[in-house]
Formats: sequence, structure tokens, C-alpha cells
Amino acid sequence: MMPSNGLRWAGVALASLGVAATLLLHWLVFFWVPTEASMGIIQRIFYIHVPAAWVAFFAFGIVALCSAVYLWLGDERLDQAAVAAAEGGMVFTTIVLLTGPLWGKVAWGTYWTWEPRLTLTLLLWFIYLGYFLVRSSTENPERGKRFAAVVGIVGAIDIPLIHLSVVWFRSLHPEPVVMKPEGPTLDPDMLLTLMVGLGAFTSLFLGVFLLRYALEAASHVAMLRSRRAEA
Amino acid sequence: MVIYGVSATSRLLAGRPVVEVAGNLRMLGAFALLAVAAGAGLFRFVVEE
Repeated sequence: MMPSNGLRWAGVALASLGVAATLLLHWLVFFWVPTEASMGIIQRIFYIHVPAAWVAFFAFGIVALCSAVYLWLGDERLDQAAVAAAEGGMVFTTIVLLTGPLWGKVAWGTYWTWEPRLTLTLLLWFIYLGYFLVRSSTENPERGKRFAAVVGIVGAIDIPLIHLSVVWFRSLHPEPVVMKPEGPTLDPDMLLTLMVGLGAFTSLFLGVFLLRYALEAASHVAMLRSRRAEA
Repeated sequence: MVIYGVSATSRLLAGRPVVEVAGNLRMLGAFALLAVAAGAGLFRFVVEE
């Protein structure tokens, strides 16, 4: 089925809102939010790193959900949505894996350490890289989609482990400051900046996700038409 | 998981207390539980005759 124009316009609107909010976020980060006392100016990378991590987990959650329902119902649209979300998840996980070490170099004195959260996040990136490799590795595209859906579900298992790794281990990675049972322990201005970041990246992701989904669906329709014309 | 397994084993062999590897054991347990559940549910989609 061809995606509706409404879907595309929603994608453009959300992506535009996301870009505008991302520009606002950068202004807040560079000119407005107070500098954190112990870590100094490098802490500001937190406003990019944490929203990117949230969107990456959100995207891979969509992949897992769409993949599970795709395996159950076999609806092509769910597979297309899963691919679109997986690409977004990869982009945002890459941002996490780039911004984290930049902060780590200043805070820990090294770009990388094989501590639990970092290792599991890198593993997440590789699992979803595998998602795309598995997808294109079979001669029968339907089989590739099915295998990729399985990888998409298995990969999402890593997400709660990433979150819990900081709680379970005495690790170098800072503990959560927002998602805590007793509530956020963050300065209100810092919390506001973080929330703008979360909104900006989520909106940007959803916009690009809808556009990418529309493109994938249109590509599928074009392929079906081409096959019919040949037959 | 290999990292957590090796890390826990080496510490235990070095005589460190079990409390010190509790995080590793929890991670290994959680992974095993999730892997078995996912494996049981997804087996039929992966293995073909």
C-alpha cells in the first residue's frame, strides 16, 4: 500500500520541529545552562549524549515491537517500519558512541574503557549492524526479513541490560540523574535543557522515521509494479 | 557475557568475596533468562527443515 501524503507531511513537520528544537538546544547548551560545578564545561555534552541514548533505545524498541508483530502477522508495513526505525537507532547510537568517549577523555583520562555500559552499548551497535547484514544476506528477501526481525527482537534484550549495568556494577559511568525512584536530582535549568534535548531529538527521529518509512513503502510498491510489468 | 564470566571467574579464583562479583552474576543470570525466553519464542522463525 502506498503511504499517504498525510504521513509524509507529518514527517516533514516533525523533522522541521526537531531541527528547530535542536538549534534551540544548542543555544541553551552554549549560552544559557549553568556550568556543572565538579565536571566543568565538558558536562554540557550530557545534553546531547543522554537524549541521543534515549532516542536510540526508543528506536530499537520500535524495531523490536514492529519485528515481533511482523513475525506474528507477516504484514510488510511492520517490516518497513522496523527498518526505518533501525536506521534511526543506528544514527543515534553512533552519536552516543562518539559523544561518550569525548566526555570520557576529559572525565576519565581515556576515550574508551571496557566497562559494562560502554561495552553493552557498543554491542548494541554491532547487533543492529548485524540486523542490516542479515537482511541482505539471503537470496530469498522474505527469509532475510524474517531473520532480521529475529535479530531486531534479540538486540532489544540488550537495552534493559545497558540501563541496569550502571546499577548492578560499581562502574565508571555516572549513575542516572533523572530516571531514579526518588525523582530527578538535577538543577531545574539543567533539567529543562535536558528535556528540550529529549523533545528535539525525539521529534527529529520521529520525523525522519516517518519519511524513511514512506520511502521504504514507496520503494516496495515500485518493486511490486516492476515485477508485475515483467510477468 | 564472556567478559562478565571471565571477570567473575578470575576474581573468585583470586579469592575475592562473592559479593564483589554480584553484578557480574546478575548480568549473567539476566542474560541467560532473556536469551532462553527469546530463544524459545523465536526458534521456529530461524530454524527450518
